[in-house]
Amino acid sequence: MRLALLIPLYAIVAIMVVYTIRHYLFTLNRLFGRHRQPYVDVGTASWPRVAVFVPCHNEERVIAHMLDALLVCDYPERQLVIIPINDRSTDGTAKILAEYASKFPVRVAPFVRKGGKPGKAAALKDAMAASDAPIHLVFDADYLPGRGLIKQLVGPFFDPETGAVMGRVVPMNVNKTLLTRLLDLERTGGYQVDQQARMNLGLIPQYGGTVGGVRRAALIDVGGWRDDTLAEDTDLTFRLVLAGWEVVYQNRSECYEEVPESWPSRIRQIKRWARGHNQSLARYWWPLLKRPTHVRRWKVVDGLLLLGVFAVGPLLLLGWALAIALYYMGVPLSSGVYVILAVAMYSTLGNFAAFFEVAAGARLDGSRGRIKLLPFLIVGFLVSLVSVSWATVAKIATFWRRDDQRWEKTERHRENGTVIP
Amino acid sequence: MIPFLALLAVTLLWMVLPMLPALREVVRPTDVAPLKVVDRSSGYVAYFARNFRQYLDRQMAALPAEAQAGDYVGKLPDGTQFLRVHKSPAGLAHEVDAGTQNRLVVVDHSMKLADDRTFLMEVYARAPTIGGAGSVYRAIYADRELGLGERSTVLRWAHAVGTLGVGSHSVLRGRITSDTAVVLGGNVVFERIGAPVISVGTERLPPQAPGELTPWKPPAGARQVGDHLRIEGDLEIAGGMRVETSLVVSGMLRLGPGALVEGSVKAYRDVELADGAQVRGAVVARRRIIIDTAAWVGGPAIAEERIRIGQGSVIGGPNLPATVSAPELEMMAGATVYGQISAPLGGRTF
Amino acid sequence: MRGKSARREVERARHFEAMRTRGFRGGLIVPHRSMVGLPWTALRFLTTLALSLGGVLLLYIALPSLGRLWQEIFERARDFLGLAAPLGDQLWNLPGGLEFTLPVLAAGTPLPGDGALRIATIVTLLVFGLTVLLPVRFTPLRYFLRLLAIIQATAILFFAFAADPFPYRLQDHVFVLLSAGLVIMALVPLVLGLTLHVFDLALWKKLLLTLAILAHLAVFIPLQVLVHIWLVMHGTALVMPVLFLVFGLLLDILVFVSFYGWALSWRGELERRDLPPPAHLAAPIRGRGRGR
Repeated sequence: MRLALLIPLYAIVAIMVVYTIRHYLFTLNRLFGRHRQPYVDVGTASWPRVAVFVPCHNEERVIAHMLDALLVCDYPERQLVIIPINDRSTDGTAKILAEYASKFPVRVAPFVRKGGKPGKAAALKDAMAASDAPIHLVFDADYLPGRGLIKQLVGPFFDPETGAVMGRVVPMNVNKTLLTRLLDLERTGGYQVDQQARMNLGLIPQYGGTVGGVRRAALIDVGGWRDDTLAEDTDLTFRLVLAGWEVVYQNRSECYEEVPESWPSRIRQIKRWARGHNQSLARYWWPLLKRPTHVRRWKVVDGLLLLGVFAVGPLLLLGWALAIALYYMGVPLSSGVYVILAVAMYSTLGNFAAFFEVAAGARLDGSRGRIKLLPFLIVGFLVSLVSVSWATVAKIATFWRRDDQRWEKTERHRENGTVIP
Repeated sequence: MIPFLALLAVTLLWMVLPMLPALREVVRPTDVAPLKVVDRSSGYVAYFARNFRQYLDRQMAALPAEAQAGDYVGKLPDGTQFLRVHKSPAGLAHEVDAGTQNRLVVVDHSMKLADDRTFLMEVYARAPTIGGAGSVYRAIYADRELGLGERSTVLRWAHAVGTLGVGSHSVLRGRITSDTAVVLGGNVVFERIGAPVISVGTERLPPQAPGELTPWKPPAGARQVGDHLRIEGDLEIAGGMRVETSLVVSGMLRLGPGALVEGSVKAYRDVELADGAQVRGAVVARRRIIIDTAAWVGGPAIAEERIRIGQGSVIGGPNLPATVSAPELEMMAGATVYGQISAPLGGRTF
Repeated sequence: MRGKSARREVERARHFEAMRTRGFRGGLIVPHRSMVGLPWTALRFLTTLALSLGGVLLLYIALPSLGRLWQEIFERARDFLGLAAPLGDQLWNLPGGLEFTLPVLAAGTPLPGDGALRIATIVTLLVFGLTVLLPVRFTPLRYFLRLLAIIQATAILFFAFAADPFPYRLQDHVFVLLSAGLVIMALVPLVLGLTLHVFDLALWKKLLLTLAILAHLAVFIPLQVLVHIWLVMHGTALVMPVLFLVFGLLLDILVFVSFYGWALSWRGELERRDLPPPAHLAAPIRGRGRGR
């Protein structure tokens, strides 16, 4: 009986150690390694046609800012069409889009959905046919692209192997609550360090579904957008990689977003990510493990670890449950095991390297002061740990049920007159 | 109970001590502003030059009437030391210390500047200007043509609305731009250049008419991925072949003389274009791109180590702007790029 | 005057280099954050190695003193708290001829009776109920209290229904916490070496930080354990699981993380400060052109 608990516990501890090493190496690489952003200097070119899709469901608070930003970008006007996808909005979104379409009839071409599955993935799937532009970029409605961002995101597509591009997401509403400050730190670690390190090492940067885009030919090659997934971005990332396309991360291509300002909003967001990501884990771990010839060994290893990111939380809780059971059984675990599990509790990822990653990212950003908030990350990690675990367990318990597709998005807090940084 | 509470209080206080900076940061934030993302300079090579021009226009417009024309020594409205030269380079001798000029200089008249001068502030040339040999410019903006003498050094940027010529053995740090053309001499070191045409020297090889081309057959094992063909290992395409698709090669790619690729190419190692080879789209290499003589690339050329553009080879075209980007770059005489060059670790002409 | 001329040239070159990153109004132009890394130097590698290994060695050499300190703290606290338990020590003979003693407080481990179980059950349920009433902005606190309640509930269930006796004595609890605390202290210089000394902080700051963390933990760990001892002696073994699993090593690591976050908010040696424009913009510098 003891062995039946000890073996999985040590296996879980080993997994924590593997993730620790992974994130530690990523941070070292980002700090000291050769930096890869080969496409960022493509400033002059025969720019291809681009369609920018902006899925909208009740986005009256933010959509006008988004469209204004896109309309002043420096991409050649005749090569850019903006396609806001109005998916059954019941607020003033439709009216706003109609106004913009009337003022800019060629440049803004709203796509209206009145039926079909709800949700961002389904909206993109339906709207894809609205443009045959070779590049499809996607932005969430609350994002604020800078003038040069479209060109920067298109640059990597001159590489014929590039299937998708992802830029860096930067929280705009950092100063609202402690939660937004913690999320800002998490994003810093995730993008400035983690994604860039994966790009540097030729691994798998993740396409995140916004501030990025996909080559239309690649999208068609892998079957288009899937509307039976909660994380269409993760799903697409792995389909592209398995098919032989590259996903490019470009750290320089930054864009503002709004992060959740309340805990319920954050919990909904992370549960959605966990369900979607674990769905991709279930779908693609075996195809990845079979290792198509064009996917290098290290890419497979890192791909599997990337797929498992949202499974670590429930594993960690399981580890603690096993440790507690063994505690009551009087099994003398070494101090080292308790130390590792204790350290692991400080991060949903299960390792202290998350702190190293966040601190390194913030220092590279030149934002030293906010690193003092590191001990408060445990607060965010605890909520994430429980939310992710709950979402995973709930999904496993009801695995036969198809997920209800619905519009899930971060609450919008922007008011008219909000000053954009 | 009281002793225990005292012990608990001491323990808690001791525990909280290292958390005080964190608590302070929560209660009284010192670093809570979002990162500054909107960057007007992103991608625009002549950004600093344009900014300077706009700044100077505003300042000059606010000058008193006597300062608006003719030789003048004084200050701009914002206090910047300023010198306008109208008649001849002798005007530049004003308050010069051993060939060094500390004032912002406005050159009103077409002139040739003296050799071995150092301009520690910006130079604005309103008329065609030729710089002296061995001169150092912090930055220079020319409303017309600009010729930098041999062994010139530019520290930050140089821009000309007309053609910008650069003498041999010059060192161009920062951004070199022109609205017309940039012509580089031999042994010029550079970092970033942007112009409708950028050439090494003025002689160009006549365009080569493509010869008879034979359709290329993919090797066994080539796999169609979307709109491109993927080949594992190295690939050599013989001269005179026509490739109708884009290629991605996991090893090295070599295009033989006169070969033509209708799409783009990418190699995980080097890409070599032999004499007269042509690629209509982009050329991308994880390591190096080596372009021999009189070859042509229609789209961007991007390498993660080095690019070598051989004699008479062309990147882009008159209506086909393109970017050449690699940490290091070598350009032979007669090489031409239509658009932009980026070589952050240094480019050099031969 | 060849030397003077060479110095002048070097000075000119430095001024030119500084000018390259100055805007026309003198503002500093720094590379974008997405493009920067941290230069790595052999000196930093060596100091990292020295600080890490040196820190562990220092701790090792200080172990006898640490043991004596902990013994002293235990003795004084025992008297202060009025704990009726003899204080002994456990001797360890370490390589190098060092002797290290861990304090051993021979206190009994009171087991919970029915009354204690009932009170604990009510309190646990109350805590859980409280989490439902807390507003959503206290969500992290809700989750934390629920986790505490769940762990406490496992203890209640164990003592109420388990056939086997509770496998730990208070002495075991103390021993594991103290020895695990030592493990953490030994890891401090190594973890700092891997995750902090690699940055460009001044050497004296890195050294001070290592000593500060070790000194803090050297005092905190025994105080923490003494609080546990009192709680167990008065709250019975029922509280041991929660104390061990939640208020033990996790707090030691929280202390480390707090120091770590604070230290990494310090300015680095390589950080460029927005200095005023170089002097040449106000006054001429000597050039190498033809003199007038």
